[in-house]
Amino acid sequence: MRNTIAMLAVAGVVCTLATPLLAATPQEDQADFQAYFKARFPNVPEQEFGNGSYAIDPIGRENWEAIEEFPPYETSIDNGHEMWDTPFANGKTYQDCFPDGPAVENQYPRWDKDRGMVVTLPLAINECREANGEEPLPYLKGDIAELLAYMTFESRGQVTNVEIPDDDPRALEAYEKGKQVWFARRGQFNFSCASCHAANSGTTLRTEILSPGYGHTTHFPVYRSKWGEMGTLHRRYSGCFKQVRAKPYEPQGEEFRDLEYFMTYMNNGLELNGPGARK
Amino acid sequence: MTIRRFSAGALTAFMLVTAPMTATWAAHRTDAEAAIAEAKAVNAKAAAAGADVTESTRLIEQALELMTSRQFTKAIESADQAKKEDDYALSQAAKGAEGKVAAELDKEDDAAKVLADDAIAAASAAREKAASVGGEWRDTGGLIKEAEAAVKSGEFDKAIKLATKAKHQGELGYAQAMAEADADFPSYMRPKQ
Repeated sequence: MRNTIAMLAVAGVVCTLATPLLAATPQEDQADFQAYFKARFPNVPEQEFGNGSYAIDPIGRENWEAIEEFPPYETSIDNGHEMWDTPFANGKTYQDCFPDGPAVENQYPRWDKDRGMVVTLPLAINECREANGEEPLPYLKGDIAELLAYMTFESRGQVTNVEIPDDDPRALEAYEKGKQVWFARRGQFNFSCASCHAANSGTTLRTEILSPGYGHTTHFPVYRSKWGEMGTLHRRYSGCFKQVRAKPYEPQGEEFRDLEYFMTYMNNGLELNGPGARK
Repeated sequence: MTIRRFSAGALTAFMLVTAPMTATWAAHRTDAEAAIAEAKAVNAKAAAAGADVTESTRLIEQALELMTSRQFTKAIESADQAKKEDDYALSQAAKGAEGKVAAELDKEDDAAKVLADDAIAAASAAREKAASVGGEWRDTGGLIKEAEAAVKSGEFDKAIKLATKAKHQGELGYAQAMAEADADFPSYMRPKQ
């Protein structure tokens, strides 16, 4: 009897220790994620996933294409261009921080091994400003969304290519944390991101068609008619959290940056097509 | 045609009766101005009676600020809250002048206030516990603020109800976050083996 109990205890410990080894790798996650949406929407060409619900809603698409003839984000691109060209008080410009810029969106989000954290493009912009003696910009809307609009516009056609380096387990940890945020139910309505954008993608929430989660990160910042202005990806995250009655995390805080890392990695292979226009 | 005419007439009559009852009609500039004027009058009385009117004055200023952006309903809410707080402060001041009977009433109020403060403290603790694991809900903090405002205006039962609701939300948010700590791909997103 004692031997049996001891064997069961040992088996339990072994199973617990082995669980991480049995967990799916990011590559496997990505393949399953993309395959799920391709199977759910078999008639949608892969690159069309970057267009969100307009890839699956013909009427919405017609309206959206009409809007895109005179894009509401055009002024923001111009304003962002001006910001890019305007020197800081010390005479330097954004170009000094982003030597490959302005078309650098495909380099973000990226794992910063030295600091052990995910760096997103908006975070890098504000770090650039602070390094040059300027005030950081608020992360949800306004100037940062306009500068991002310009940089994103210049990056159109680049391909999403987020890397999770094998030589730093903290990168995998950040990816796993971001994955947990996407799949965890939260808020008074007990919804996860996946509840709407995986399990119910393509169905309607009141009058709105829920977009597939595959492709979500390709087109930000966006001009949303609801906002009447540009907004960043983390502004949209905050909005989604509030809609399910959860308190949002801080924009550009660790949780949302990890979430962006996971989501963008899931979209590897999709073309960047921002800035976008959405309802 | 007769039916259509009748339906249109009935609908118009229905609208004329019910529309003025709805909240949309309460949000006019004149209503908001009246609410602010009333709040200011009580605020002046409370200040003259030596009551602490810092918070109610802030609320009145907030109401005036909201007027500039035509948020009349919110302005009315702020003005009403300021008036409630000043009314309560005035009633407390009046009791102080009435002697022994007032002192007995004060004891009842004090006991109710202690209960409300305890309920708010418990709600704040539950909210913080939920926040510590990323499980705070959207409205919990707002409910606690409303409860605190209710205490300031002497509405202790209302404060206790709000705080109890907030505490419940905090507890549920914590439990939810713990249950979801290992959230991962659901089986429907994995290929069938």
